[in-house]
Order: sequence, then C-alpha cells, then structure tokens
Amino acid sequence: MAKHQVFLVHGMGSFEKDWSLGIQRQLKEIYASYPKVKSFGLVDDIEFAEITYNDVFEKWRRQWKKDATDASKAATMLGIDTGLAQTLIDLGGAASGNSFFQTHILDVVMYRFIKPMSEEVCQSVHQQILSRLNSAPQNGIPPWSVIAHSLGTAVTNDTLHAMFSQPDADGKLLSNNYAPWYLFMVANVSKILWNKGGDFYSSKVHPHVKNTEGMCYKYCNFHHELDPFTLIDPFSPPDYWFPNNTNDLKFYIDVKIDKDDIKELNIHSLSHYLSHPSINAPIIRTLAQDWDGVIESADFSTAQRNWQKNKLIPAALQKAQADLAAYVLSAQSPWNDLVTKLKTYRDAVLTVGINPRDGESK
Amino acid sequence: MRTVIRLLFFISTAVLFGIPAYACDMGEQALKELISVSTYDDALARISDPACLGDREAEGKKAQGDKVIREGNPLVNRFNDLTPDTKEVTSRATAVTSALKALADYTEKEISINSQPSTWRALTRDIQNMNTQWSAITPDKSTQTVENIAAEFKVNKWEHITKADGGEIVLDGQKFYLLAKTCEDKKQPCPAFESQRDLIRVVNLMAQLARYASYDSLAKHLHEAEVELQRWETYRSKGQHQYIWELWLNGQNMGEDLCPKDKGTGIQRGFCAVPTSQWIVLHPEAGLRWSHSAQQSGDLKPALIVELFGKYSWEWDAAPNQSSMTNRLGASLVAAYTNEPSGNKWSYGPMFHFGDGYNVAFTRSGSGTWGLLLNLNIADRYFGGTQKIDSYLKCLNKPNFGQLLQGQNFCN
Repeated sequence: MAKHQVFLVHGMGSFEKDWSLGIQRQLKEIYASYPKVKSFGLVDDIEFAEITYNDVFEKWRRQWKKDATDASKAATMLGIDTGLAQTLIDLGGAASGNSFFQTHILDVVMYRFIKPMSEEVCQSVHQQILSRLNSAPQNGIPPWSVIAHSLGTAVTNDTLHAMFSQPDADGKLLSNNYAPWYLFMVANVSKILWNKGGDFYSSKVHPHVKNTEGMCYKYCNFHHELDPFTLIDPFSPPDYWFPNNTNDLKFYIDVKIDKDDIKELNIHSLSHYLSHPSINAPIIRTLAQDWDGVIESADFSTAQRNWQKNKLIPAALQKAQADLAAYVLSAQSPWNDLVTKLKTYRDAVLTVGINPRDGESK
Repeated sequence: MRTVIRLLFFISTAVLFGIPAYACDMGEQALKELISVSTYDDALARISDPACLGDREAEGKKAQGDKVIREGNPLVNRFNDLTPDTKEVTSRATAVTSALKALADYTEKEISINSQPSTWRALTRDIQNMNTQWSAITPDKSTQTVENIAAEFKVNKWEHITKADGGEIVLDGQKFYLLAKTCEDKKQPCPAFESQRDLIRVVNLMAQLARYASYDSLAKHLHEAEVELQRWETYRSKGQHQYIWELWLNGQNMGEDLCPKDKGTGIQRGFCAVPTSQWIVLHPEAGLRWSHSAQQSGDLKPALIVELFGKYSWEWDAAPNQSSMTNRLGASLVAAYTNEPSGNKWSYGPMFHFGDGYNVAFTRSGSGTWGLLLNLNIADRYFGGTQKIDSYLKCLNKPNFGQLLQGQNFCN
C-alpha cells in the first residue's frame, strides 16, 4: 500500500513548485533527532505531498498586468494621462505588481473577499488532493493528512468543507472513506478568513469519534502566544465539538507556544513553528497513530532543552516581544488597519531568521 | 543458519554504527530484527501502520533462476490479486465479494489455530456479514445498488488502530484491543503477538477493501473537480477579461443558484459552480477605431476603449468539452477615445461581444462622426495573432479597413 500522504499547504506568498523541499528536509532532520522515531524508520512511512495554489493568484495578476499595460500604451499614444480612464488603468495595474503588498497581503484580502478567486483556489487544492490519492492502485489508496500554514489553514479548511459537502452529478457526496486522518493547522487563521456563511465551527471540518460524523480523527491547532496573525480572531472550538464522555485530547489538541519561546522575530513562519518540540513532537506522535511512546519523555526533554538553548538572549527577546506586541490587533479592527499592520510586520521579519520565507520564491 | 547469520550481521552493524532504521515490513525476518531491539508491544505498534502491509512492488514477483516466486505475505498477495484496478462497477462488486470471501475463509481457519479465538471469531462474523450484503449483488443489479451497499462499507470501523486506545475495535458488537499488551520476554515466542499482528493485517486489509469498494466515488469526484477547475481557467482566460473590481463585483453576484447553502446551518454546500455570465464595469482596454467622416476616407486609429457597463454570458459545452464556452454573447456601453483630424475626442455607443472573445462597437462622437471599434482580439486575428499592441499600433496608419479585413499583414 502507498504510504500515508501528508499534504503540505503553504501560506501567503509567492510559492512555486518545490517550495516545500526545505520544510520536508527540516522535518526529516528533526525526526532523525528522536532516537526511536529514527530507529523505527517512522518517517519512511510518510510521504510528503506538496500543494501549491499561488498560481491561481499569479495568473490573475499576470492578466491584469498585461491588460493594464496594453491599455496604458494606448493611453500614452493618445496623450491621456489624467481623468477616469487613466485612473482605471492605474487601478487595474495596481494589483499586479511584485511588491510585498501585491503578492502577500493582497492574496489574503482577495481570498477573503473575491469569491471566484477563493473558489478556484479551493477547487485547485481539491483536485490536487484527489489526483494524488487516485494515483495509487485502487486497492492501495493511502490514508492522508494535512500540515497547513497561515493562509493555507483557511484554504485547507474551506476546501475540506466543500470537498465533503459537494454532491456529484448523481447527488452523492464523496465517500467518507476518503476523509483525512489528521489536520495540523499551524498559525490557524481559518476562522477570520471564513467566507461561506453560517457558524464557522459548524462546518464539516471538525474531528470525530469513530463511527460518528466528522471530518478527521484528530484536529491539531498550533499557535504562538505573540503571533499577530493568530491573535486577530483566535481559533477556539466550542463545546459541541466534543461529545460527552470523550477524551478531548484524543480528538483535538491546542498547543500554544510560550511568549518567551522566540528564536527570531518571524515567529509566524512555518519553519519557526516546526522547529519547536511542542509542535513537531505531537505531529509525529499523531502520525504514528497516536503513539506517544514513539518519543520517549527523556528524548522530548532533551529536544526542549536544546531548543531553549538557541532562543533569543534576554535583551533581544524583550525587544522582540515589544515589537510583536505592537502588531496585535483584534477581529473588530477595520480590515485596512489589519492589512497595514500585517504588512509592516511582514516587512520587518522577512529578511531575518533561518528560513523566514518558508520556501517561497522572492 | 542463514537467519542466524543475518541476525548476527544485524546486531554487529547496530553495535558498530548505531541502530539502523527499519523499513516498514510485516515480513518474518524484519519483525525478528525489530523485536530484537525493541519489545513485542512496540513492534506491534510500529507495524500497525497500514503501510506496513508492505509495498505492492516489494511483495511482487521475484525471479529466481527459471522460477518466478512470490515474496511477501500470502494473504496480502491474494488480496492484491483479487482486487485489480477496474472502471466497471459490477466488476468491482465481484472483486469485493471475492476478497471478502478470501478474508473470511482465512479468519475462520485462524479461529482454531490462533491464540485469541474469540477475537478471530468476531472478526470472521463481521466479514461474513459484510460478504452477505455484497453477495446479494448480482450482475443485473444497478450501479446505484452497488454504490448504496458500498456506502455502508465504512472505513472508519476498520482503520486507525491507535496506541492511545490500545487499538480498540468493535467486532460483532464487542470491543477488542488489537494493541493490548502481549509478552515481556523477547526470547520466547509470543503467540499473542503473532495473533494480534495477523489480526491487524486483516483489519488493515478490510480498511483497504472499504476504500476499494467506494473507489467510484473518488473517481467521479476527481473527474468533476478537473472539469470545474478547467472551467475556472476558461472563465479567467476566455471570458471577457476582468479587472479586480469586476472580479469582486461578479463574486458578489454569485448567489445560491451557483453556491447553494445548507438550510440547517446556513453554510455554503460544496463548491460554487463556475458562473455562466459576468458583468462588465468600467473596463479600460486598448482597441482600434475605424472612423469615417465626410472629410476623410476611412482609416484605423488606436483607441482607448472604456466599457462602462455591460453583461456577457455563455453556456458550458456538453461532454466531452465540458469546460469550453459556447453560445457566447454580450453587449455593453462603451466610451472610446481617439485622435481625430478635428481633435481628440470621445465617442460613445454600444459594443457587442461574440465568438471567441471578439468585440465590435459602433460609436458616435459629439461632432456626429461614426466609428467602428475593434478590440485587440479581433485585431490580432487579422494581424496573425502574435502581434503585440505596441508594434501594430505603430503601423495602424498604413492600412485601410478593407485591406485589414483581407488579412494582409502590414507590420512585417
């Protein structure tokens, strides 16, 4: 049978084919550092599968750029440089440049507010997942899970909800036999970007007890106490996610990285999150089918100690915490404030750290 | 003897170079090696991963001299043989029935051989019950019937054997624990370990069979996803090009006809269908204007066209070209700016959209001059299709409209 497929879904930014190779390498190196995981060859049971959806934004941007350029050339020839026509041409081209705003923040805004775009993104992810599963022999279709980051958590959430509530031409839903096993949502922003109406938490995407309705066996929510993106509208599932007499931890875990645990200002980056033992250990334990003992307590403590040794020194830590606190906004803040603050944050952090771009092209 | 040598080699390697990583394999030799450096229980947890059934190719045929022998577990090999890839729903039903029978026969034999007869008995009953449902499917039964029975073959009963709950599984109405503690002493054979290992293999095969049984659902949904994705591509590239504000507006206009909602939760159900119409709003583009006035014979000039407001619609073609647009039609009101001998001026009029992105407008300026406007798609067609706006705008003053329509390329 094919190996457990772990789909990697990127966040906002200019991600292209092979963006995840660095992340895959990072995870394999981390897991090789846990003796039992290494000796049992557990990572060999997993196959990472990369998902890319940035091409949808990119194709629209290219089209806007070409159309605005053509119109601009005609306007130049005709001597038009003011008025409504020129304003429209400028506006048409404004969304198509290569600046950080146009390739990062605008993607998030477009995903949230421009339905044709979010629908095409989700349909693309839907197709990539099913296509990958379908590439296995019919009698060996593997289980699958998702590690999603930032904007990718919203894309994953929305895609999965649509995927398992979409009737086919005969009115039948995709069989639950193809539902994912585990969802690892890193820097989860799926709630604030939800645009499908109703109560966000009532969507199809929630964990389930065996033989009851639900999407996955376990939902893991990972966030950092100072990550400005996750603080806007924090993910916090209601009680009805957990039926009575069930062990919550079996179906859902919420890991909050402490505010003192900062290796670099870009605490939002996927690589920063994955480097932390409190994140990478639950992922591999869960992927090993909830086998906690696959990382012995002593090995976990060693990993934690090693991580703490490399975090920012106190003076730098205090400055980073103060800087990060300045970016915090709430869900009640107007969108233009959110966009401005988040742009400032990303501008500040993109040039520092071990892998701040998480594999995106520049 | 060979086994002992391999084991010695393994231990010496482990001592010299550290413990090597194990390929996931339920084969006898791999298991012995695994147990030698861990425990029965950890080994069991390790191999409960569905991938540990073994890779299909690794378990395939291996040439040995003139003979071809099978490697891997015989039950898994048998399962693979009985469940080939197929697109026929009835063939799949037959395959599922055969596989269920093979699994039930196997488990029934194990009741008397293995050390946990009650678990094997319960497992046998469950498989037999499932087989009874599938055996009722005869070749004349409809696809619908097969799909309905497949929908009852739920994978979550069989998959996800977790250490956290001791590998709990409900068989024939009773709870069993496939990862329950087995034996402490690694030097002795452990019948419980062997029994649980074999149970896990069967349970994992049942999970595989459940997915196999419902494969048509995956295939259908994948096909529809591919069509819809291609339609979005067509919507972007073959519809009237949209700027960001038009895309936003058209998104706002996607109502429940395209994005149905669940009445209970108010949440959108599934994906939105790709639209079959679009509004055109304040859309600037480059074009060409052929004007005619009493003072001058007709010629072509560059123009800036602003489509003020309009609508464009189409239908999606029938199979096999389901992502192609057909019956494409639209109209809009445009303002066009051109250089005229009498001065630069705006003209206004209707624009018609037809065919493969061709737009033609008739406009009238304040001075009463009528003009014919073409968008770049239609101009491209007559200039050979690859012409860029800047180069063909340079030669716009050369041809007259009649020459242009004759397909002459003036820019070479």
